[in-house]
Amino acid sequence: MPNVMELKEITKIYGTKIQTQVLFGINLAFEEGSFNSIIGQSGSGKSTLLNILGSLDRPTAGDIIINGKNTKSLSSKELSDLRNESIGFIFQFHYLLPEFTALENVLMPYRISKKPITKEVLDYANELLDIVGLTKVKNNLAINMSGGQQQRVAIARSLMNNPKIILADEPTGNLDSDSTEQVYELLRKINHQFGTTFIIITHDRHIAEKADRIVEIKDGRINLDITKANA
Amino acid sequence: MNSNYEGFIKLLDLEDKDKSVNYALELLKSKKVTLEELYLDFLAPALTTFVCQEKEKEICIWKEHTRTSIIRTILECTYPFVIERRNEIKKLHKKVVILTPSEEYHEIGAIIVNHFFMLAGFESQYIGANTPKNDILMAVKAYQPDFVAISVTNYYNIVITKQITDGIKKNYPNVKIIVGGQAFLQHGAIDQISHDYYMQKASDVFMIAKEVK
Amino acid sequence: MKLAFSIAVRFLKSGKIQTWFIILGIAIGVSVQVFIGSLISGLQKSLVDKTIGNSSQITITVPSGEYMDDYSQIISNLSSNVEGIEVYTPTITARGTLLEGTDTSPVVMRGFTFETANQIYNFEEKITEGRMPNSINEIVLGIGFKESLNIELNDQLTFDVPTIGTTNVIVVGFFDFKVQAINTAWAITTLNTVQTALGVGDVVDSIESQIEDGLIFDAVEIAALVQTQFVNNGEGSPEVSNWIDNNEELLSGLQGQSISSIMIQVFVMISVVLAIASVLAIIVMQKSRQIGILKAMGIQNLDASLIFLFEGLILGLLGAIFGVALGLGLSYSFTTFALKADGTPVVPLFIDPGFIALSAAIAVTAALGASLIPARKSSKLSVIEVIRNA
Repeated sequence: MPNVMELKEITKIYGTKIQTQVLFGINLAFEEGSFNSIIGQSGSGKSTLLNILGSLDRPTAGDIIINGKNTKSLSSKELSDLRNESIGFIFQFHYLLPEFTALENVLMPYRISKKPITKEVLDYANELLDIVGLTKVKNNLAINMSGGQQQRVAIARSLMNNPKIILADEPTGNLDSDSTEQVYELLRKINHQFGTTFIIITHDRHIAEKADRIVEIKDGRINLDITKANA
Repeated sequence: MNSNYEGFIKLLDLEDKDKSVNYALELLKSKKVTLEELYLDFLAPALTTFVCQEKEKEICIWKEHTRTSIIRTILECTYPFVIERRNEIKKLHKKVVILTPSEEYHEIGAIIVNHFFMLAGFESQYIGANTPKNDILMAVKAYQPDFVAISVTNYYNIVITKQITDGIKKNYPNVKIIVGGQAFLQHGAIDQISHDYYMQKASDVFMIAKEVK
Repeated sequence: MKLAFSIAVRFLKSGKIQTWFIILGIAIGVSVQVFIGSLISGLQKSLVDKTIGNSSQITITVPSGEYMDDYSQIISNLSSNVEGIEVYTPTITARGTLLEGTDTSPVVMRGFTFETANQIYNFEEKITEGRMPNSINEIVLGIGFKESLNIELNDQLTFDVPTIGTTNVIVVGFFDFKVQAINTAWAITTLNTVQTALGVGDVVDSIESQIEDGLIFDAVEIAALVQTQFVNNGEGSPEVSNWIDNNEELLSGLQGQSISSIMIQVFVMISVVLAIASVLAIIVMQKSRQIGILKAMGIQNLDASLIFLFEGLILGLLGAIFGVALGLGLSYSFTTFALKADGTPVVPLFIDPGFIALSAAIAVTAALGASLIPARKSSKLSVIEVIRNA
């Protein structure tokens, strides 16, 4: 499988007067369709790494190649478009727009792409809500949904533009163990069904031990990188 | 393959604990098989080659646990035979501590290896499954072993194993580390763990024994 | 654009109470603006109307004892060459004494051409008894004469012009200009009557005029323009006077009012702008999480800032609409309920659609301007900070 995302010698330093180096020359590549977990203690730099992977943050040095494009040469507008098309985000705190319904939240990435919403697009959004099991509550405002439901909306939303990569930061961070299991099953199903690459930061060993690959970040460096033999 | 293996597996499939245990012990008493043969050719394959015919995953896990429980009982029952054999062999005067890391509950492998170390003349101590990292370091401090053997089955536990081996190497550089288990079949796993010996099978103990003589 | 607009609408809807409070704030500002503006311009207009509305605003006079015989030529000439004057009317004045038996009273006998003079003086509305003169030697007197001469309608009087002679006149009506000096001094009649009394031909001694509505404060410039017509024509040199030069005190009073009105409006607008800007700034803070999410999903910075520009626009428009309605309602109730004894409003308001539109436009512009800062903030907001501060 070709690499869908690649980091080359990524370093990240915060601050100007008092400099804190968070990442030290990280080299990583993720294969298309793989299911990866990134683990590490708080402050290890794993969230910074994910934000850099998602082009939400720029590295101090190094190259990020997403879908074959080096992000260094892209303008902020092109970067926004790349994010919109190629990357889906799932965050720990759901990050839905509370003013919008579940369905509208799912459609939002598509609307941002400024393409007209056709019946097919609407059907696809409904299908995604079906997959995450939220058909009944799709017209509820996000603010009126339970944590597990919101997280599933966020998952459906991350899939809306058929991104090649889904980045998830503690997607089950504040869910109970039953919901965690459901969310994992869902992510796996999507991984198999759409061939979507998943890169998941997690504290949850139940998620991490089921991933095809575990990358441990420690003090801004890759401490461990193991791939399941039969993955 | 030993001709008695099929009979043994049949009893296990029936989940008949009493007969299975008696059958295995009878093989030892009658010297039809050696301890090593029982461990390597009967107990280990009975676990690793277990194929579940049931469709439901839950029932399979339950069946696997039942089988593990029977094998574990047989394993414990063989200890008098280990003692008997140990009195006959020359002692190496080397201490080994055997364990599985925290959250690692698969311990059959560790127990078998413990017995093998004894049979090879080591002074071997199995300190248990699911041992927290700090307890391991404490045990190393208390026992002052020459070797620490870590058995890892779940590949996620390589993460904690690395912390343990790094901790031992840092605090007790003279202690030799032996790792083994299914987890190390994963790509890149063994290369990223500090270790002195990698055991692919329990009988590798004898190679280590040869080396330290 | 559409996306930013619909997000803006949704944001505003989600905080209904907050939204209505801002709209109310803007509306109150605009309504005060509309009300005060209408009140002050109403005050000014009524003051100007009372003072100069029924008098000549630009007057062309010849020196005492001289007359203009080509006045109709002059008027048609001025009408075609000078813009901004609504009407000209020729007049001739004779000063003398009115005699009724043994009673005498000084009088200013003013001869007019009523077709045009009525447009300036509105004589017909001021007649309290009788009718307007329509043939020679018929006069209308100020009601002050009624007492001083003890006369009634249709009485015969003698008009004596010193050194020239006497004329018999008949009183066909009385007028009330609500100005004591005029009510006790003026007699109004046709041009013809005065010309006959003075023993002159078809001549006048002055041409009076009224300026078009809205140009009233340009009287000085228009008068100057009128003056140039005479130099060019090589006529003698009639004197052109205007109401502004004749009413300096009134004018400075009016200007003072205008300035204070502008000051009030400016401060109302500043407070509206500050209110909108601070509330929108708070909204951006409240919505920074949402902006962060949208940016993570790839929304362009421009669209992110458009959201807040649209919010400002919507708030400004709604505030302006409600404000104008509120201001008009306030004005209406003021003119309906605050009345003098005779049923006319204490202060007549002047509702100028142009001024109201301007107030509304200023409010909308102010709201838009106020939303520029939050819009900029939104554009610059970094996703990372939002995520980190979650």
